[in-house]
Amino acid sequence: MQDKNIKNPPQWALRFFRWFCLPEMVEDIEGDLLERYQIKYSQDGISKANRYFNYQVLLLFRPGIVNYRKFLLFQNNTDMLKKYLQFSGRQLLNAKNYAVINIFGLAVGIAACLLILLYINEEWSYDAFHENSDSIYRFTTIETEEEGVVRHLANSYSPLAPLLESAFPEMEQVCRYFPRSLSVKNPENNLLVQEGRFFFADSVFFEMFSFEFKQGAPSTVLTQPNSVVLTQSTAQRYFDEEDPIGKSLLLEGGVDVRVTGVIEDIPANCSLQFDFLATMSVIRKVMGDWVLDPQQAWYYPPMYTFAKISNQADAERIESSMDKFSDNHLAPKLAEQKSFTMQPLRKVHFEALEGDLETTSNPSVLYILLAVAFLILTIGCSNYINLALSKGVQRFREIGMRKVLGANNRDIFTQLSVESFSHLMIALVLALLLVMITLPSFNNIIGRELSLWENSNWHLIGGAAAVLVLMGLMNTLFPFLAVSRFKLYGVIKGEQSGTAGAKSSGTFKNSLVVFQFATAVVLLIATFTIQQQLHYIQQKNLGLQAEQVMIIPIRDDSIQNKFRLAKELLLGVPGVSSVSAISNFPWDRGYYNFQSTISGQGKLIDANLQTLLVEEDFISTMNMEMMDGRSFSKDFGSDGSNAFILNEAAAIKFGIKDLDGLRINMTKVARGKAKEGEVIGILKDFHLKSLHHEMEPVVLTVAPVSYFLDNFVIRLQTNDLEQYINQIAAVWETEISDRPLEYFFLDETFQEFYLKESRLAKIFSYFAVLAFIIAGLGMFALAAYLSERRMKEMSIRKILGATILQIIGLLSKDFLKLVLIAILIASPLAWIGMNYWLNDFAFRTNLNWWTFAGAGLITLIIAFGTVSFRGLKTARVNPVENIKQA
Amino acid sequence: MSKHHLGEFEELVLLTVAVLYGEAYGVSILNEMESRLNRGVSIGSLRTVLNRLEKKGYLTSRFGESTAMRGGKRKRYFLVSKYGQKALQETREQRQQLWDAIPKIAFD
Repeated sequence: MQDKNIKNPPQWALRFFRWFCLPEMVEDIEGDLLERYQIKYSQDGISKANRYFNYQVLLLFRPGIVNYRKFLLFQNNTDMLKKYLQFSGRQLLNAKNYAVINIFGLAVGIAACLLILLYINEEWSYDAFHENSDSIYRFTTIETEEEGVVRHLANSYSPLAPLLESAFPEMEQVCRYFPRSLSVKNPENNLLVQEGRFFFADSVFFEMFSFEFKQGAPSTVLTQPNSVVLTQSTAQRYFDEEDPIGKSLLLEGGVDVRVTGVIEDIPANCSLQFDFLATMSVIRKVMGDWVLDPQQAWYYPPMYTFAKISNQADAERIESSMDKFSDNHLAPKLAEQKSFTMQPLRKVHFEALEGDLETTSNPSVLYILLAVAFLILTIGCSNYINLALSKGVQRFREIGMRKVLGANNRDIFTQLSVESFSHLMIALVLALLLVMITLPSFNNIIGRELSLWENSNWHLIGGAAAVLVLMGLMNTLFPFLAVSRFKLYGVIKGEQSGTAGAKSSGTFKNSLVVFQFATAVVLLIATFTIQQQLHYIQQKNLGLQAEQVMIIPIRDDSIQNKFRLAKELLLGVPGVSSVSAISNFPWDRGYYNFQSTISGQGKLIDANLQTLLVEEDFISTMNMEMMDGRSFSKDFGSDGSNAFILNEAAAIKFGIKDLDGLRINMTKVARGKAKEGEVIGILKDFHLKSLHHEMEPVVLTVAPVSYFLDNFVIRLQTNDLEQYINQIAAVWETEISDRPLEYFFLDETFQEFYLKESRLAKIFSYFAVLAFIIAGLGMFALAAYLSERRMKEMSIRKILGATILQIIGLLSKDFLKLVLIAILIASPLAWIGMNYWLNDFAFRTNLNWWTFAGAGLITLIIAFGTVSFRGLKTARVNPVENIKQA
Repeated sequence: MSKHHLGEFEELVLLTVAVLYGEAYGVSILNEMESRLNRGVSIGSLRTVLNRLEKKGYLTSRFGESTAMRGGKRKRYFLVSKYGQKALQETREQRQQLWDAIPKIAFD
């Protein structure tokens, strides 16, 4: 009786409605819906009417109309639910060992995984909090030096920004960012501090980057020519609780700046970390106009250049035209040396470039950690699955009995799921507790301030819950489905329970055990290898003695001008055994490069020499060893002006065997003047860079003018440093400089080179231990389960004369086979992985067979200990007891 | 405080059912409310309120005729019960009392 004029609404919506609606209301509401649909259809046409219909159906899905009974798993029997919870409690008590191992193993796995993911999450969130994070780019420099040496620098130079702005009008904002170390004084209380994180930036800075302002507005804080913005804790340092706005601060050289804004402390996941940020024009007063000069400033000082380009297409076009940018816009000589590339802000944290301001993260380490997290989680889950499979078989009989007594499939499913999920809830709570307990020490290892309860981390907790739900389903479905496959009669009689589970899941279970132990072995080998490499680094002869060497940066030409006097003053401090100076440290700013000619012995080599400019006593102060010739010496009055010393690598590179008549002519060393003289010695190789770097050919020569000397190098006599530092500080502040004393120790700096590695070593060692605990627990439970099932067999063997050792051997043989397979699988994988990791170092230890053998042996001992501990129990029980049991 | 408590939407629905005396079923109530009150009402929210009012005894309902437009489904007609009438009146009196109690000067 369908009328042609009647239009049909979307059928799926209608069907959905019919499904969920309470039956007593279906008819008249459906009528209403249809009637309204017809009206809408004739008024507004099909698409609007359909939309209206769907929307109305959606709005009908509400309490009062929805048939809630459809959504109840248990119909009207909360009593049963209570019983199920009771059963699950009994199940726990009945098999305490299994339950503890199950829940604990899973919780530890999840907790470890969560910890790592928290860290990775934070790493991946770097710089994401800026609103414009996806449209900001950093311009980095590729410097091509002679001899094809190419350096990729994170920085660029001050004239680049205006050039970019005029060349690409589609860049909305271009901003320079310039770090400095300045002495800052609060004129009100004369607090004077050397501030290492004093930055300058163009006035658009706070519009480009999103920092939280406590006081001041992002668009105006930097517009005044003398404005400075402080972070909150800096403001507190200088002004306590007073309102800092409008207060004045005195920079070195008497430059006066005024506080115009205060921002919240900068979050840790930000690549721009500063305490002060002053507007760019202040730098002219501090350093002079030349800093921003479009011609002069192409070499120094390094500045960072950021641009905001919202349109993706524009950004891509600009990026592709960057190749030609320097050819088109720079003087030909400059264009030969420098070209620029664009780097998205979000990648700044992940690409290590020379001159990066903050430590970067190696993405491959993050992926390794991610893999470790996943592996640990899988180990935890493997236990659970393994035990679920084994124990599931045991439960066949119980389930069969329940069925006989009238339980239907749904009841059994409900019971099993209530049971697994209540256990898993415990695991989740335990995991979160574990994370909360261990997070502080984990933070300590990785040097971060992570917290679990942050909005950005909720999805991790959600993920953990999802894993648990998966485990719960598996634990529920396996016995459930398995039982439904068998004949009820056989299940109750126990006919199937012995063979079915063992055969169908044996291989799978075995491979899980192999997987667990393989992972543990890989982690163990990795830990050993990283430790070995760290040990190697500690033991490595650096060619110099870094202990008890104190470095004081010189930041003033007033000190350089009276260098001799300052040196004498420092030498006068008791405990100081020698004092020297160096231009800059290669780990920080690289070397000076001078176009040079090496001549003599019939050779004539043109080379670009990497040079360290030092003071005469540098070699003796650092306790470097000479391989050939002599060190700089005052006895030869001319050493200051015409002597050179090569390192071993340089001697090898240039094929130098002896020093006879060897001379170097270095061009344009200082103020365009050349330096010419003889090579007086060859130094044994020394490491002033981390051992990641190859040994580079280096020339040492005495700095021709004192303004090259940027660091005092002081050797102290003893390790009782406290007292001497105070005395040095007293001399420094009263007689040498008007700045507070800044210093660091060389050996500590060297340690910091390997911070990432030592962190990795710690993380790996902890996770290796965890992996062993979880895998060991799992094996223990499995062994216990299997030996229980073979109790009778073992008892009969014993009666027939088997010794305890034979019985333990029988019980542990299968497991040890699996562990051996695991070791065989793990070793080559670990070998490949660790070789890859070691390749990061130019100076590396070799992989030893005994590392692998040791790891394997430890694993075997742990596995054997676990299994035989359980086996012993079986073997020592009075056989009669077991056989008597039905 | 009276024992009858009508929410704003409940009151409107009840009144509309009274206005449509004898002709009040889902669609007609919707149409009436939309045209008189100029507000969109979803079938879901209307039907929930009608249910609630019926459960409280303010409304009675019966199945009526079906039309082709409704795909052969019957209408459910609603009628305000005596009890509902009392509730409406009480609400109105309360309002009136409040209005009367407003001092003249307040709305000058």
